[in-house]
Amino acid sequence: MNFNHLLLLLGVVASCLINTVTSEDSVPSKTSFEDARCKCVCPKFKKDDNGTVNEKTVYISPNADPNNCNCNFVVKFKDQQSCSMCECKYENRNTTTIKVVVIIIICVTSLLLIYMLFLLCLDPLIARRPGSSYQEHMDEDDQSVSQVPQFESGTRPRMGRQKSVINYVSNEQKRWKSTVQEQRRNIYDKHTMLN
Amino acid sequence: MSQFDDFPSDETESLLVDYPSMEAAATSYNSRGGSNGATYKNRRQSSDEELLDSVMSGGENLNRSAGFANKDLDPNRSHGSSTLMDTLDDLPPGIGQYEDFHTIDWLRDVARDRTRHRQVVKKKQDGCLQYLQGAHDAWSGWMCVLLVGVFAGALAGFIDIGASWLSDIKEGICRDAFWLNREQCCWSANDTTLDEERCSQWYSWAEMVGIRTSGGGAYIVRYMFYIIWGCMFALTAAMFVRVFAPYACGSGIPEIKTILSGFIIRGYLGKWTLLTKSIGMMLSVAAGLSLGKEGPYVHVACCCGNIFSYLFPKYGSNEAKKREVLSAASAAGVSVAFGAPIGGVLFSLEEVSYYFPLKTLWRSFFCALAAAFVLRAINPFGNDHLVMFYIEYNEPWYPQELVPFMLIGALGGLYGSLFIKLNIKWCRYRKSSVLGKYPIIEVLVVAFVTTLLSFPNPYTRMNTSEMIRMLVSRCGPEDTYDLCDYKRNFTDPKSYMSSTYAGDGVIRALWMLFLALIFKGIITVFTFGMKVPSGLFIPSMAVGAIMGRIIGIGMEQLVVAHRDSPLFKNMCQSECVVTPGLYAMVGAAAALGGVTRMTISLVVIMFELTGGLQYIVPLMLAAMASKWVGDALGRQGIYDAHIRLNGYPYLDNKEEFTHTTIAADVMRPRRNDPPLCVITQESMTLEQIETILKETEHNGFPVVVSLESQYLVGFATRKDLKLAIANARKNIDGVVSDSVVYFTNQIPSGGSGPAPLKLRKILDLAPVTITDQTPMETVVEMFRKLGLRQTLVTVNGRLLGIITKKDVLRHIIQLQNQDPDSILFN
Repeated sequence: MNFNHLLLLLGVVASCLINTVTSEDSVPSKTSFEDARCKCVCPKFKKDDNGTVNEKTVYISPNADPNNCNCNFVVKFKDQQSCSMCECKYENRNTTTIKVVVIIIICVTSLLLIYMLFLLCLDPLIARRPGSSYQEHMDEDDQSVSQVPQFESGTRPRMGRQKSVINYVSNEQKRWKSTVQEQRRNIYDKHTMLN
Repeated sequence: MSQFDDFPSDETESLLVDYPSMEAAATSYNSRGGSNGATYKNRRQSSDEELLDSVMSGGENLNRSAGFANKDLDPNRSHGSSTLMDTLDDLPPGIGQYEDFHTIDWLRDVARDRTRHRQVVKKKQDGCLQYLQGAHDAWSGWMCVLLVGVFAGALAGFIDIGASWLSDIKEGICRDAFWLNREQCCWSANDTTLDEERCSQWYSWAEMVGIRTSGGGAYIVRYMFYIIWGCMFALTAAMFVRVFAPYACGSGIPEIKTILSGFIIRGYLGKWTLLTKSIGMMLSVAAGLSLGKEGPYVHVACCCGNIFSYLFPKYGSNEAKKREVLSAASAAGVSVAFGAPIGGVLFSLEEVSYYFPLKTLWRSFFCALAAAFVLRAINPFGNDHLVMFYIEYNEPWYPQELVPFMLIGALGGLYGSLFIKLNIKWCRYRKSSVLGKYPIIEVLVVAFVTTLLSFPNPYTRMNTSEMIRMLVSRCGPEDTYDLCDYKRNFTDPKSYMSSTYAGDGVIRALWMLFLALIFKGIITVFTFGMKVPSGLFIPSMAVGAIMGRIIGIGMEQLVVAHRDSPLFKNMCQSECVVTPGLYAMVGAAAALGGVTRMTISLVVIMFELTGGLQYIVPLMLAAMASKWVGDALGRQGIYDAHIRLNGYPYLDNKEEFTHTTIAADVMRPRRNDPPLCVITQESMTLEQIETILKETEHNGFPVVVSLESQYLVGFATRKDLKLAIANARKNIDGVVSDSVVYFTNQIPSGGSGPAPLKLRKILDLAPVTITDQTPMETVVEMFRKLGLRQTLVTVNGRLLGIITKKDVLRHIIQLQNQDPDSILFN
């Protein structure tokens, strides 16, 4: 499972989820999460010293449209003078974007979590089984990949026929693992970088 | 070279005396340098107007004027370089690439690109397809930065939405639409004015587990959930970084600076780093740790830049050209982080980039524009303002206020340098003690302490950028929290426009802000540098904004109380106008300036961030004061300090080199070192060269005429030599260990023995050379301006030694009385 495969898997999962999300959207949902609102802010005000102060200052109406987004429609004060001090603004948002993004993020994070648990728990068990030849093989592979990458292009057609996809994937994963191990050594053990 | 005469004569004499012995001994060199001139095509014929070309021929003149006596080599040179290019395609792939943790050679890479460009232009007349290829080549730079900008903007939108949602998850959930954060959950509800901006759809965790009352039990449950979520997010972020991409930790800006100055860190800008950093950033911000996601945006954008540059071989295969894309990408990073496109470009220019020609400036501009546009299209904040801390006020400021602004600036600088000192000390301690062995436990402990202490205080509990937004804004009618509890006269409809006496709530808020200031200031020292993705912009701005707001409220009350004093008379015509939010804004700029030592880009970012165009002068003043105070207390900004802490090979082009040393003092080999490893141009066998390659670790070898007369011919890098030899052994018939390797153009015919091996193609025929008397001032300037990897030292045309970039860095550090071995990767 290297990066490309992870991405592919991710894309499939995400597209499934987006489908369910958008199909859900076609059914009219609850009205409390509208994509538009008219927000009026009125200052606290009393006409004279005996009057009372209005404690509520923010008025939101989800069902106003841009044309009637004004104090008279939203706040419904009794006197016109109070209303003239209010400021009303019509605002838009897109909850579908938010929904899709959050769901994708949840998917990616849980995929990474699962893969991480796999790497931490199951992988050492699998790696231990083949025995001592594992380490040796990895070294050899590492060298052939990183030292002389330029010859691969020339020999690829022959190699390509022999190598199965699984082989390629596991090689890629090994390469990635050794890179990460190298990075880990630099940062967590030797403390030569990113302190 | 004018300083040349100023050298003490005894020093020069002693060096002159040493020549014969040095020449004879021909001592060692520790070069990691290399340069490949195979691609310098027709340099003489084409009179390129650009600086680099003239400098290169200048280097050649230097070479010749130093006494290049070998006459019959000269025609070979020009001839050789013209035939060279036609056979460029024969070279094995991989020639001209660099290994991990190596320094790049800008001159060579730029020349290589120019050659490639000439070929493309020449082929353009050949046909329609070639014409299209030429057109594609011409616009690929713009295309690449467009892709980078679009992708960086989209990613930033994702991260913004995710981070704000995740941070609110700590406190509760929008029950009917779990994907909305608290603000969005209550966005269209008409009952938002309850306490703490919550509405009926937003459920705290106490309510979710069934405790409906708002007593002590509910508080404890919420407190516990806050801590548990925070620690979980922090743990996940730290584990992701450790398992998937260790390079994703930290802010990334010191490393990006190092990479842009011409250093290779493989995998630092890879796809795993991108993925891990993006997710880790969200998690660590959501954990409530005292860190921001704005700095890491630069790293994320640069990852995009690196990945997309591979779509265009022009950039992907040429490290110097790739750095142009990366410069543009870092501009896009800041552009999306703050919604400040121009600030991003200036940040790239002032802080990050090393080599920034006008072409890159325009590309950066375009990249930042594209990124900001895409982010705006996604509109993650759910409002129509692109800017994060939009201020809606337009109050004037008065000349007297410049004094507190200056004071805030100075305090910001003080805080900045104190922060840098403590943070570096802590990081050094982490590096050298047992603490460094437990990075995950460290993250957990810091997350626990942070959440434990920040929950009781509402100003630390809330998202840090929300707090800054609150602090820089003016108290309006809709604000009901303590900070806006003024004794207003509600019979006056304009009462919100002016300053009045503070109520009890403001005093309470001041105490809480003060505690928040101390807490944030201290915990950030321990947080920055932990092994999670962490930025520094937002925490330092928060500290500054709190400080500024406190001073601003103090100033406001002072003016209101003494409205008749002649000092404040012009500020109070009918009502006094002092805007504490403006002070908070100035404070944020000052603290950020103190920590990063930015000036121009900081001011531009701040006014783009707030939309307060009329407050440029206060911001400039504070930034300047902060820089003065900061520089007086400690020379380096946080990024330079971290570069130094890690010992990255970064040759700072802001510092001046003032010592009177000369090249001979820095040059390898030193007096008692073993002889310099050289290759002769036509007498060594393949086996001998392979032995040299095996037994030494040098990364490049000067090629000389013969061992007896060490006249310089060129320079070949280790990697190119290895590749070429391996390639020849495999593909060319008759090449055996006894084959003589020729770096000359003509091979003496009729020789017996095995087939000769021609390696002239990989030889850099125009290595930059200096004489041993060149002042180091000049040498350092050459390394900075030309981006050299190494320069060869000659006297009378004979090779004497070599100076690499790392030798220069070691020399500079040594002159500062520090340990020269702290420079990374030899």
